[in-house]
Amino acid sequence: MREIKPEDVSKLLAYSYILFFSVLMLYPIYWAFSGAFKSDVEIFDPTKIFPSKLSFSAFLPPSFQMLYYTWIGNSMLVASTATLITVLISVPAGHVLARARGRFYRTLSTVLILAYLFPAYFLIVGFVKLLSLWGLINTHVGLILVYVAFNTPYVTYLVYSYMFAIPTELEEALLIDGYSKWRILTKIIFPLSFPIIITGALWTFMWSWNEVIYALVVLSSPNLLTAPIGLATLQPGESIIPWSTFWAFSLLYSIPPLIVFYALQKYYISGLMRGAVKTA
Amino acid sequence: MIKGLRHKLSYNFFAILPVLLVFVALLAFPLIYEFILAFQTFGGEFTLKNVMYVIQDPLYRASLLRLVIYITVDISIKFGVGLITAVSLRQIKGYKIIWGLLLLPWTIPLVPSLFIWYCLYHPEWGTINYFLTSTGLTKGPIMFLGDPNIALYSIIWAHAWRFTPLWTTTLLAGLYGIPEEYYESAKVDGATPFRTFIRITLPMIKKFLLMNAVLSLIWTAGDFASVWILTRGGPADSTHIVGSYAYWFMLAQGNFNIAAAALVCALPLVILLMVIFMKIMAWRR
Repeated sequence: MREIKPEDVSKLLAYSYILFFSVLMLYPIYWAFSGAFKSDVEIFDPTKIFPSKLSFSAFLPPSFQMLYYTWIGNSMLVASTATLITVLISVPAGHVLARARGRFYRTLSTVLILAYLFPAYFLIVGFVKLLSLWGLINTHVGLILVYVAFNTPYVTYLVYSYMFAIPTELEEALLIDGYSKWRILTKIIFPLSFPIIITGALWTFMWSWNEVIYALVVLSSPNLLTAPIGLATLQPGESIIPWSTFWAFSLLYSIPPLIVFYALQKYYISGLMRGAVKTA
Repeated sequence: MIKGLRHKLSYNFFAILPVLLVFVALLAFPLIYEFILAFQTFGGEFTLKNVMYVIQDPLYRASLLRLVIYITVDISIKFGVGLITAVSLRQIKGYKIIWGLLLLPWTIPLVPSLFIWYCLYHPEWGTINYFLTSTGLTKGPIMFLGDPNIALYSIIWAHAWRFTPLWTTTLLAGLYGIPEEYYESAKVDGATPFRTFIRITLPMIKKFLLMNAVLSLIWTAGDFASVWILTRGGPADSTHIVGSYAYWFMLAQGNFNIAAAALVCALPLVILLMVIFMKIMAWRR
């Protein structure tokens, strides 16, 4: 008989722990999204793990709840515009910060890291007051500005740290060949930093897609709301909205980030190691 | 030559201009404005009253203390559980698929994920209370979000549940930075897995672990969305943390001055954490 080694014990422990942990992480999600297909009686019964009959009625809500599809559209508009702007302005800035010499740029790199660290909600009072001065309360533009503001430092930092992996000789050679800096930016820097751009875009999109605190203050007209604050104001159970409808909407709202994340997971993880944790 | 230099300068200038504008108009302005608001009366005169009010308000002091509890408990769960999970995952065959699945809580958006726990915690039909009462572990249902003594911890768990996978991923990435030879030679020397963990794994990822932990502390300190969605600071104001306190003053009272003062008075904590982060970042191995 083979003797039991410490490695075997630790393997066994690892497997049983992961099994337990998986249930803890995954069952709540299963419970919630199966609720979209359950009847409203079954949702209130913890012993009914599986829906007895698949019901899709929650996805086809009465006309007044059609507003929800508008909310998802609003989220899509706000999150993708914010992502596009953030990436477009961050890549050139990250490039310059990594290449330019001098005290000004060095200071700016430090400011960049500080801005990236700073928690967004500590600025909320000043930011909201400023938006109202500019007449941007209850507009998508105002919310997009918020999202651009809090993601630009991170994406610029990602690009900045990624630039050190791209040799400067290439750019120098092209400069001698008569390429302009702008042409190098569009023809070389953008394509070469593609992986980190995807990472930054992914992060910005997810952040904007999730954000509730700023959105709750900035937006108020029902047809302008983004999906998360729309969901939060539904007050299922306490209002006429049944829980099955709430979970059906939640499922629809969760699908875009799920697809985006799992399709681009590779970029996300490689970026995570290269960007925020690069200095470790 | 001069033309080339000018060209270079203009590229540098224009390439950085939009981000510079964002920094000034959307980050520096709000910060300065918030400071001004904190020291102004409603009419716009200079005053210290807001700051005095906030400092003397027992609810604010309690919120500040709760913020410290919130971030320390939250981070202990995320990094404790995250580290155990990362170390366990490394020993499992085909861990990549499991790892991908375990990231699900983080990919589910915040609002639905908080409502999941709102439901699981429910005293009448929540799964957790059903489990507790039917197995006889507790006599009656526990009011997870209704009991002032435990509501804060219920919120912390809902928050930590969502973010543990993210930090597990980060820690797993850190573990992969440790050269495999270290483990092989430890094996040859007959070290137990536990000893290997203490003597090799932990020292090798010390800086990495600390940096990410402080990073997570800073961001959690600024994140009161979970509090706001789950309890809005209730029951009996028992779950207010600094952010939700300020938010409540701004939204419910329309008092921007007190709200600004509440945030400004907590800024030293954030700045301290940021300084710690910069210090750790400057460490040499």
